[in-house]
Amino acid sequence: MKVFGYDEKKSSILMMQVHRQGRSIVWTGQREKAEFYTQQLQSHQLKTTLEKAG
Amino acid sequence: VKIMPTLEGGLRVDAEDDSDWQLLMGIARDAVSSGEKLADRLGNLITDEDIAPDWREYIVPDLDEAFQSDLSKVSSVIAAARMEAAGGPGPLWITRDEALPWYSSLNQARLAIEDCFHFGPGERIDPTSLPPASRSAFLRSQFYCAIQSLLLDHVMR
Repeated sequence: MKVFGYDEKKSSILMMQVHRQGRSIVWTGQREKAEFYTQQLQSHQLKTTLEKAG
Repeated sequence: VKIMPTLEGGLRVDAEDDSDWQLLMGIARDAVSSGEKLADRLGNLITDEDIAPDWREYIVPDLDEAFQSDLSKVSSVIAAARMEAAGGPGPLWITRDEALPWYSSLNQARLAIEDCFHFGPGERIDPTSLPPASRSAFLRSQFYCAIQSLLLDHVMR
């Protein structure tokens, strides 16, 4: 919610994806911004990585 | 240990004896119990070789410094409160301003325990089926999680 500004409903859906499936794609877009978001999420101690979109 | 919200929007943690203080000091011990620092473990998740070297050089040290700073603040608060109580019954206060380092430290402790023991989702675990060291770690992790929930519900809203 804090990093992306997602509302509570969307944040809960993503959280439950992580809980059930072990991972969730939380954002897709340009690489520079993806690096920034990854850093932000890791600073919140969330296990985050970035991958090239297929 | 008894924990209750305060009128000022923080939490009051009442330790009843030195075993409670030891439990609280376990937060910092658990947080560094994994063989590898949390910042390094997070950095290892960046596998794209175009990014990974810079990540290790610039991001990981920053993250590590922030995580260590949080742990250091919380350890100091616990040590001071324990000293004030002479290891006996006494209060410890988590103010609204200190909520983030507390949340971070408790999270670091839980992540390190998970890294060592791989419990997975807590609701699937029967602690009575675990060997003593694992059971103790699992129960500490649940205790840390309970404080995190109280922080989210009463302090960080």
